[in-house]
Amino acid sequence: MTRRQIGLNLGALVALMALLGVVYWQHTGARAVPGLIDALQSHDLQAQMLAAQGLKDIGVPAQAAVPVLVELATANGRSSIHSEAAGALPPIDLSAARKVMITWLPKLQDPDPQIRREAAAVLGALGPVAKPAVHSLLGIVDDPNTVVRDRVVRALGAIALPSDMVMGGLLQALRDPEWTVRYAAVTQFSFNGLSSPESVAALRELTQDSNQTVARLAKLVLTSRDHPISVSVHLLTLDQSNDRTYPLLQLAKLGPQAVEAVPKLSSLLTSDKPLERYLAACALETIGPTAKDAAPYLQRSLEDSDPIVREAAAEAIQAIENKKSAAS
Amino acid sequence: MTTQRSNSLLTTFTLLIYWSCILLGLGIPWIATIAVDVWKHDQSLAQATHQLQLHLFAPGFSLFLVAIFNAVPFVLLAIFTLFHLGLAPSEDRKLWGRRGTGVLVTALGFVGFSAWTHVMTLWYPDAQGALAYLFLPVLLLGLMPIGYALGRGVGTLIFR
Repeated sequence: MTRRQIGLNLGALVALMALLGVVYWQHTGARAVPGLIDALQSHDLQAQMLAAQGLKDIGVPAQAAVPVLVELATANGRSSIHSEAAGALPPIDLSAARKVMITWLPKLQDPDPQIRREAAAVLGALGPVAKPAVHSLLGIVDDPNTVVRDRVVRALGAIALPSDMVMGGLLQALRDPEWTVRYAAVTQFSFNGLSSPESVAALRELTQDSNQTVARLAKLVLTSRDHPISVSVHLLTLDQSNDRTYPLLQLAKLGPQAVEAVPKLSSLLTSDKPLERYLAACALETIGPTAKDAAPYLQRSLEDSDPIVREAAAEAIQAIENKKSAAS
Repeated sequence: MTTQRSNSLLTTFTLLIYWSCILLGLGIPWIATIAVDVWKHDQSLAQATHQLQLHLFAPGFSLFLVAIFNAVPFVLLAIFTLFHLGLAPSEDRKLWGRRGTGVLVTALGFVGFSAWTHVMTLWYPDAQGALAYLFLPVLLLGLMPIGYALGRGVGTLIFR
């Protein structure tokens, strides 16, 4: 072979790699949004679900998909796409997520258990943004339908805030007559920082549960409590991970124990992702008076472009000040 | 005339291995996905192709990225082939034959090992299965000198 032939074939390989790079680039980030919106509007459930997951990963730049996602999340009829579309919304648009929450909240009281079940699943898919729904979810934690109770427990675990209210519901579920519900409740205590003397006592009782699966999981949860994930680990994850949602939620669940995270949480109040700003404010709220150093940052967040972040900042300020005056 | 024809055949052989390596490196994961969907999940070819298309850029499990990962050792072998065979003196048939066998055995080993790994990973799905996609390129690169040595040994026996 001549050197020219070798050079040409190498050049063709480089061109192929460049072409593949361009194809990948076109299908990632904000550039992928139009294609994903088309997939959402298709009648292929699998394509719709994958598109919703893709849009969730893209986050704020997927703003153009919000109307379609809201429509899918709130459409009448039973569909697995409700939860998937709802779950995609919080990283993109908090207000749209709240809109979905408001649509589904009354359905928790629907006479049809299938609809109540679906409503709980959608609210759970919204995660901590559906915090105002916790009160209504607690209202049906003793629903006569087992599957509804199971979905409620899972939804409470996913929303996780306010942790004291969620804990109340989960404690009740730990004593549910149906083992699947007890199992779902115990799962919420695994690796997630939720803990209280009452929950430990209830989990101890469950180690003797008549159902072996529940008993085994309860034992595992109690064992994992001996090695809790420290605040510094969550802080490290915040610094190293692209998706800060999980460590922020964990810090929010820890409450006053997470005081060490106040400076980091304060700095995240100016994050370019509304969900991170919202969760940072929620975490500061649960930390309470010891987060007083964050007050000036929270004051600035009262001017945040996102109304849900402004609301969370106001609640955090209130929590810091109220508890401060109660302590003094 | 005969020498010219023979040179052209050697060039064709080199380029055939070069491009086959590149295209199979990219294509094996996709072919394996379609094959498993058709044989294991009883899907039609059209359904399996649609599944592949859906998962090409799917979040969490992008078959496009899986193909790129898989192609890395194949592309390196292709470049090695291009220089190793392309620059070999065509008049020295013994040397050319031995080198050609070495490269061919390595390439066949790559294709077999990669196809087997992809099919098995999809046939017996496991939570840690995706790790295979990360380890496979490293393993193939490790196998490259072994495959070549084996092929070269066979070539020595054939081209005396």
